[in-house]
Amino acid sequence: MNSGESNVTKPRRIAVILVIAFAVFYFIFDPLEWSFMPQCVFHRLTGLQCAGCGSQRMLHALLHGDIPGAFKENAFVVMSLPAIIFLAWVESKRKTHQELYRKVYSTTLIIIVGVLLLLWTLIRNIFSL
Amino acid sequence: MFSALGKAVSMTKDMKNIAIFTSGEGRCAQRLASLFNQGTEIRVELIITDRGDTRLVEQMIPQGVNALFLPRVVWQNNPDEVLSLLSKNDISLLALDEFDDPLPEAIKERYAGKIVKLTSPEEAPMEVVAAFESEDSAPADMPEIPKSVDEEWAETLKINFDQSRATQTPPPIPDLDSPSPSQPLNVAPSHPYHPTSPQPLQEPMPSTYLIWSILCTIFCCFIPGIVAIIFSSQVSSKYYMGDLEGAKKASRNAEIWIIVSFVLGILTATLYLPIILVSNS
Repeated sequence: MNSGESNVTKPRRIAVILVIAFAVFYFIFDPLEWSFMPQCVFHRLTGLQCAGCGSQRMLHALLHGDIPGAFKENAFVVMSLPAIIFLAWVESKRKTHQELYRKVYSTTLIIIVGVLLLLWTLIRNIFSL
Repeated sequence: MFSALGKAVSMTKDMKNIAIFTSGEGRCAQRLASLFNQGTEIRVELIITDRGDTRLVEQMIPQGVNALFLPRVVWQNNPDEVLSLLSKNDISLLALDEFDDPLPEAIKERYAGKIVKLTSPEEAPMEVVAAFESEDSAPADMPEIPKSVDEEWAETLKINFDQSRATQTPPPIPDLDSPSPSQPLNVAPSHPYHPTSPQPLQEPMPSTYLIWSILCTIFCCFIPGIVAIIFSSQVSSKYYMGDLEGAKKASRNAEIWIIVSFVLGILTATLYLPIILVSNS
């Protein structure tokens, strides 16, 4: 069934294009210099840092090869990037590798992810990381 | 019950009625209906879909085929209703066209040896005819033997078919996979294509959308993202408890919260520029 094939490859192509577009965008624009870069709503409203605050600056630093700078902006997201890529890969294989998908996306893993995000939010606000 | 069965068997002498179960677009079903329902002795009498997609039903009704939607709840909890529907229509053969639901044991038992798995619209007519032929030649009291041979052929065909199109999802085998211990084993246990790993449910797990929840939590908006992660965890926990409907609901909720988070993120991203410009001037 050809429709099934194109259903698999089309979102993948869109995803690749989006990733490249974002990478180029964050390579060119430094969020610290350009005032139009969006700011976190949570940070705006509460003044607290959310789990993802600083990830735009982090992306910019990372794309310029500045790994210590990236760690300074948001260490948690830098460290979890390989995990995010792995999870995205498994998600893209959901229809063809059902067994793998079920094993990876277990309830425990999802709860661990949620707890880690909340813990990181707590830690970075306490120790101002 | 037995009189209905006897009637169905006697009907096969002059008319051979098939029922097609489908979970997909029903392309095999459409092909079979257009091919057989022109006056051949084989007739597509009934098409049952377990997807709420009404397009197939709308297409088939004008062609004189009784087509209807039966939700999963009915399949799993009230197989007798399906059976009575089948005997009312004098169905003598069941054809599975990408049917994802595990067939209820009662149906498997009643139609033992009269279930054929369709692999593709091209192969489907041949498979149906072959199934009728093997049924005719088989003695009435041991229908399992032609069944398993036939199934093996279908399996072999399916494997060849799949290898050429590796990206396509093979439909889960609804039949023979895990005979429950309470059920008498009327199927050879040493089936060559028997999957080795036991599965808690044969229906694929609905997407947890965890990756999107994480990305939205980090890059879009924190609080709806966390809510989405909570729903993601419910997808897999409910799936493993066997609550498929609940898992699907949680999956949908996760999707909704991801969209909320994403929209809030996009809104701040697009509204930010005018606000900055206004506040600067």
